[in-house]
Amino acid sequence: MGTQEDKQHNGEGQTLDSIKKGEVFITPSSYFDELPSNIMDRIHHGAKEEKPAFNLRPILAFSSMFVLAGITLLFLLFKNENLHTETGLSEFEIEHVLENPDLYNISGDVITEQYLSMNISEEELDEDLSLPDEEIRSYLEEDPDLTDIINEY
Amino acid sequence: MSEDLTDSELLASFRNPESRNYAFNLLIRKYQKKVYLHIRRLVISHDDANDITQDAFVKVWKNLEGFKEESQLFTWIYRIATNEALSFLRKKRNLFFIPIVNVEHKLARSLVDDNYFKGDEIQLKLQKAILKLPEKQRLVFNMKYFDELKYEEMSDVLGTSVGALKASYHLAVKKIENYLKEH
Repeated sequence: MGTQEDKQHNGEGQTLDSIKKGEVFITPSSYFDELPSNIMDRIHHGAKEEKPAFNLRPILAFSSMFVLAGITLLFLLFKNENLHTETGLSEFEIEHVLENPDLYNISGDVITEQYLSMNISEEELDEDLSLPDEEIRSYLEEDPDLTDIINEY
Repeated sequence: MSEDLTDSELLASFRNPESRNYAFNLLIRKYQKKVYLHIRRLVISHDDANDITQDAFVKVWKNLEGFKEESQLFTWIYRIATNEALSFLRKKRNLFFIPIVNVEHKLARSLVDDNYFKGDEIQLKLQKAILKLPEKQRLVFNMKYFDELKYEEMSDVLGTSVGALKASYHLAVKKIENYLKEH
């Protein structure tokens, strides 16, 4: 077992009362002589110089900016790729345009393109284009002029 | 003009534009050591304590005109200094995205290499134990143990009831003594 002094030195069984309460924080010499004039200088001559300390915030701000710019760029590229099919119009609006091409001064090519871009499957198209057998039969029984049919196409 | 002016005399002198600078210079000289050491015990580094002490006195200068003398001048200055130091520590935590314990852990480690720390092994251990305390308890402990403020004065600075401060100090002492026994 060590002496009381040894125990105190090693910190064993320490209580606050047994620790010397001297000032452990010191300052550079003449620090307190100069501090008032330093403070008065700051008061009368503006802000102190900013310390060039390592600062994580600007780095984060720049990273966020780059990420945001990247996302915007990707979005714009994606948007451009789909621009030729994407009109931003509802199906109803498209139909209205297609039914009244003269109103909108739209060429036939654009109309065809719009038809193709509409979400209609081939089966639906076939269904629309196919005629019931009876209709075909009655059409043929009318004995139409073949030249008219050819001219139609 | 004597340097041993009372707070009321300092304030009266400060309110006179002709003696304002001189009065404030005297005010700094009167309280600079207490303010600096209070801040230093919280932020540990001399450079940081120097910056914060200057910031605190600049704030005192800006707001002294409106000081209503409802509290003692010293506790008012002490409150400004405390807020500046705590705000510095919070900024430091936010800057490095680390939880509260790590900043204090970092501060405790920095003590070992600090040229402006002259404590012996036990005093170093005491400082490390203090840095393990939660922020409010650390404040209360420092103000009571080192600055020897009365509970009423501490209550004025921290805006906490005397009872709560007593309990907080008692708890802090227990934790520190446990730390000293275990390490």
